[in-house]
Amino acid sequence: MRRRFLLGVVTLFATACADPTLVAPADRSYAAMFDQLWHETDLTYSMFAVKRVNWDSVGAVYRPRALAAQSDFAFARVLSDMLSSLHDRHVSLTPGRGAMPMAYQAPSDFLPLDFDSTLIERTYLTRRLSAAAVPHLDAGWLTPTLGYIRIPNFVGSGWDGELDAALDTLQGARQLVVDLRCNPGGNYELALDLAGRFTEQSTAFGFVRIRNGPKHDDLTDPIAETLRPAGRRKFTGTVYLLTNRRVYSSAENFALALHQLPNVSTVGDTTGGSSGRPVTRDLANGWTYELSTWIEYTNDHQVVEDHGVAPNIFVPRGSAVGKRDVVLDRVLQLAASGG
Amino acid sequence: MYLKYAARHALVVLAAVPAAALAQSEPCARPTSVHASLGLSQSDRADAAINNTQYQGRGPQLSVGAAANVRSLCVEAFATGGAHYLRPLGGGFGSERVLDGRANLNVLKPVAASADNRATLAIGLGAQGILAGTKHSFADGQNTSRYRLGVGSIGPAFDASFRMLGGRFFASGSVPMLSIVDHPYVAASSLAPEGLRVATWSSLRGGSGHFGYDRPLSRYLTGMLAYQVSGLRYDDARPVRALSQMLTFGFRLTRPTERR
Repeated sequence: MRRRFLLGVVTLFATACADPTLVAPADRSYAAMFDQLWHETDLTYSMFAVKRVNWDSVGAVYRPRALAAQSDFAFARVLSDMLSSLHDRHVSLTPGRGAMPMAYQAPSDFLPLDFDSTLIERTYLTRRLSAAAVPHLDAGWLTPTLGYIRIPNFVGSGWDGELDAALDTLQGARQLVVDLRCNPGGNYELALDLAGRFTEQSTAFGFVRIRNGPKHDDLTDPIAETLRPAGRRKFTGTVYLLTNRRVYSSAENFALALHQLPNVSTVGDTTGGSSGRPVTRDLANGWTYELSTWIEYTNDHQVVEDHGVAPNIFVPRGSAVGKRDVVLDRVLQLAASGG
Repeated sequence: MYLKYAARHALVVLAAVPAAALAQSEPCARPTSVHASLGLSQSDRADAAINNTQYQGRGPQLSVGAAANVRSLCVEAFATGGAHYLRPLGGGFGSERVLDGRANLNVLKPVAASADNRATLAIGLGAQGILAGTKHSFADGQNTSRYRLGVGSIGPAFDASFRMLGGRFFASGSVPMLSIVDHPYVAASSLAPEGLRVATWSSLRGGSGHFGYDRPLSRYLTGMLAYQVSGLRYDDARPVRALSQMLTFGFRLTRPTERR
């Protein structure tokens, strides 16, 4: 009897250690991976209607090319070309660990650069904050009452306290320039945490609809985006927010949020128009790709994607090669006149 | 290695203690008691909201529970949870960290017992809650996403036991018939809505079972060796397949007046 018991226990252990098969093993043929990418995009991507893309037709065009690919590189090129037909900067393919993402580049990416951060450092800032104190920011004084903070990106997390430190140092400023130009975005939550330093009350600044089903128009009801006060230090004086065509993604969320505040004037050019809240997905061969999952709207129901956030005060594009920053010059005029 | 170690010690403990006479008999398979077990579990998952690959991993598992005889009903509750590091099967890519837990509450009515209560059977209603949080690391080594799956369900449940070898073999289980499932369509984020849906047997199939052997170690203490299995097959636009198996060893503390 005891032997039977032991046998039963051994069987129990063997069962517990078995490898059950829950789904079929991944197929790594070009055909299977193309179908996987096409299908997942069909199920996940949020802006088919915004982009006016017929995804079935796109698949029909690119599938034969994918199957005819003679190498991984050629295959990646076909997949990337197919994704580029969405004209979405948040859609990309990364063909292997460490590889450069193959992403769509918007027309604004090819515009001549109209911003040179070193020009501001050399020509405009009278006193700069130590980079050691605020490594993610560039800050200093433009005039004795006008402070300057540049936020180059919103990558990472946990450094929002640097803005408090910068505002501590600039606490004598009556006006502040927040320079967002050429900020490509990053972490949405971080962007809103930083924006929360410029308000003392919650403000709705837009809304999103998130893909939530297999049909292209399966989107949630509008979900309000709210800017909430954040951080130990607030600046509620006059803020000039500088934007240009190369402000993308979370930086546009930041701009859209500040755009609603009565103490903020946006100056420069319209932002790039790229807001997608991308998710990453895996392909069976270890490549990854990213797809947009939401549509973001302004409070007046304007889609942010492809349209961007227009400034209150438009300043025609200048040249980064020149000796003056035309946008900053305009802000200096406005600040001097109290505008 | 850990599994073998746990098994060897469990067997030694169970075999070394002389069989104690099972005292008072009751219609419920378990006396009023509390129990705690520790063991090793294996988690297999394939969640299409993340990707279509099966991930598998093992990790420690903790179970706690209680049983009570309330009037003519047997009430059993237990909860189990664990953390797992999952790797893809079949040469896939990426990895996952899963933190999951399950809680069961069964209310059972004894329906059959042998004359000496050597064998018992109780059937009734079981409620089950499952919560799993997954952090998926993608093959690019840079991006991670968080996903969750929550299931609350009710369905039939049973508990059976058979005394032999100086102890008691037991089996219990429940099957979800009606469920509420929270399975967001996209990765969890600060704005992502809940993906609540009602699921019936046609879209959510599964069950959980608990099989084991317990044997008195002292007047109030009982040793338990158990194998638990829980399976889930959920079909929506993002289907989920999950199978958890665990082997645990633990103790049950029995209330003195209801010592069996």
